[in-house]
Amino acid sequence: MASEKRSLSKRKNTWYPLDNAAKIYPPTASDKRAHVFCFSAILTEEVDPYSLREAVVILLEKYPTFKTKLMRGKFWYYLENNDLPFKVFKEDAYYLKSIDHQQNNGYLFEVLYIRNKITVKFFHALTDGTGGFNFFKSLILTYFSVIGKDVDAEGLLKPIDAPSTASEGEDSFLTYHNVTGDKTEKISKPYHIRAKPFDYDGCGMITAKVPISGVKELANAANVTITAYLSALYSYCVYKAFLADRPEKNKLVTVLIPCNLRKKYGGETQRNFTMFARFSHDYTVYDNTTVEQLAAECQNKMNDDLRVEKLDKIIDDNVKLERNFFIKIAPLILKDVIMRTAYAKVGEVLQTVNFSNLGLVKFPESVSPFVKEITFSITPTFSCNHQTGVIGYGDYLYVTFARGYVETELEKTFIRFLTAKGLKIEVSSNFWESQP
Amino acid sequence: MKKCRYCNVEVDSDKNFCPICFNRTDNLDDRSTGLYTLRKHNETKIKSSWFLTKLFFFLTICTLTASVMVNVLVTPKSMWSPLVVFGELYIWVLIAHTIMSKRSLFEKVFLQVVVILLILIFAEKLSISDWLIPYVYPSMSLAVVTTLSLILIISSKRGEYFIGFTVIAFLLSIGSLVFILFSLTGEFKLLNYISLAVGFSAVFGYVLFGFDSIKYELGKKWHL
Repeated sequence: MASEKRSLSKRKNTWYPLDNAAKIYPPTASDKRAHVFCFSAILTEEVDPYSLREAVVILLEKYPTFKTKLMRGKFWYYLENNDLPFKVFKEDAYYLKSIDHQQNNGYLFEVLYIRNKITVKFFHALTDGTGGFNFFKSLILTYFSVIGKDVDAEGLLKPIDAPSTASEGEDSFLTYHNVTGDKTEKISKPYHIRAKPFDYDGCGMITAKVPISGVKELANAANVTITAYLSALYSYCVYKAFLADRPEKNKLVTVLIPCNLRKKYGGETQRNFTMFARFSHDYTVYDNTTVEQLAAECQNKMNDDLRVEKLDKIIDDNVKLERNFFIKIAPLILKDVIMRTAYAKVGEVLQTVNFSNLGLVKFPESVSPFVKEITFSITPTFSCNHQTGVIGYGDYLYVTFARGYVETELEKTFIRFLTAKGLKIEVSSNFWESQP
Repeated sequence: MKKCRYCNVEVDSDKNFCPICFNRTDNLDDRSTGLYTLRKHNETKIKSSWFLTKLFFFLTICTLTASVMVNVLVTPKSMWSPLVVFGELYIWVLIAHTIMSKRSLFEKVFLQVVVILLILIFAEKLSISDWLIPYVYPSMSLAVVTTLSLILIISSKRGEYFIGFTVIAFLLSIGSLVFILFSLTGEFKLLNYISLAVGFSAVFGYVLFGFDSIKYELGKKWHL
């Protein structure tokens, strides 16, 4: 009995409720809506899979919330400690897809390798882009340490021997929620890209390597941030590629721009702590608005949407909803139905495209000589079939477009716009549309 | 590395066309970062057409139509075809919910008990003799409680099962209690008495031996 008690107390903190934002992902995830994003690093040398696996195993002890599997409770989903061995897989051409939890021993992230490339794929219920990237950076650092390179965290990363802290696993929505705030606004249903889907599974990916200095100049000229400039350009490209010459009734283009709340509220949680700015522009009466004008409009909208008072209200509404007595006592089967219905009404359906910019990332100086390139990509879904992930590394911005259809008109407009402004761009693609 | 003169970009690829505009590219040099792995033959599967599900659904409809037709035309006095309908539905539940799904053991057992009971009630309505309440229900209840207890004894995951199994045993015992209290069992009450006694003993035993696990699981699965 005593040993039973000991084992129970030992396993006390081995489960975690999902954070407030993560609760929507498990019931709405499917093969067509993977809720997955991933980071890839191109290294200077071939990847050793055994060392890579060893690095993940070391890291899992430092990131206990990542050493978990998703479980169905009676009222909520939750994360439970996962003691099964972690596996790394060789990357195939279609890697931006749902995580196969059975093959993966239930872990909510996947580590892939091929030649000199390491890719880490995360299910959104586990973490957001910032939390995922912190893990990814630590993995790269630990990997180099395992293979015997003389690397050091240099204060930029969690040191290899540092233990995990409670704040890293907290639900920051609950920690920072505030009862005061503005009213939330009503959002109109925007246009959704209609294009020829692939006949087979998978998505087309194109990465454009754009010099940061060039984009910065363009953004500075418009007096906006890089995120606002590129989001506005993205919106303009949707219009040019799909709406300009078509008799669509709804020409409202909405770009969803995720924002890292850690910058606003502080905290060092490794779980979801993101909110969104929503830039909408109606092109029904297009009056030759320039990208610069759109960018200014986008910047104003971002500034407004990301005001603390407005964020407070949204976070408070979400937390109140989670704490609502009737929601709490509803069994999970019912919650699943409610959340799926709600997501169909107020989820992806309220955005045309998604534009996520992680900003300029840095590796410690002892690590960066071994990392040539970094990319960030997000899976397209059937209702939001074009998503873009941006990450800045070194002197370049890596803009990765992922689409669920054949046409590349949007990418063409986007890239040709930038090259016409004098930027020298390098492009990579998985050529998903062409026959092998 | 290639060059697309139409898009004015450098293309990192072995292919001879631009991935953006699909025009032919010019060779520049042999540099390549190898960011993407290209698709090979047979590596991607054609989108699922749900063929098996459709086939199974089609066969179900055919069988149901045939049985109703035969029933109405050949033996119109005895309406047995609804039982076939119910049986077919049960097969769907069995395959989709119990065999194919990854649901918890509690949910699988619970739904099986409910569906089998419904079928038996339905079968009894179609027959003349009253055999469900005095014989079938308590026998099934005893079988279920015995099986659950055996699972708890041998399974290494018993901690996770205590709550669900307690609920099932409790509900089955309540069923027998209701039948006895409202004299629905007819003259033969013995099996229901046994089912009631075994059921409640099982509930008591599960709670007694699995209290810590039940408390832990309540926190974890119910967020209490």
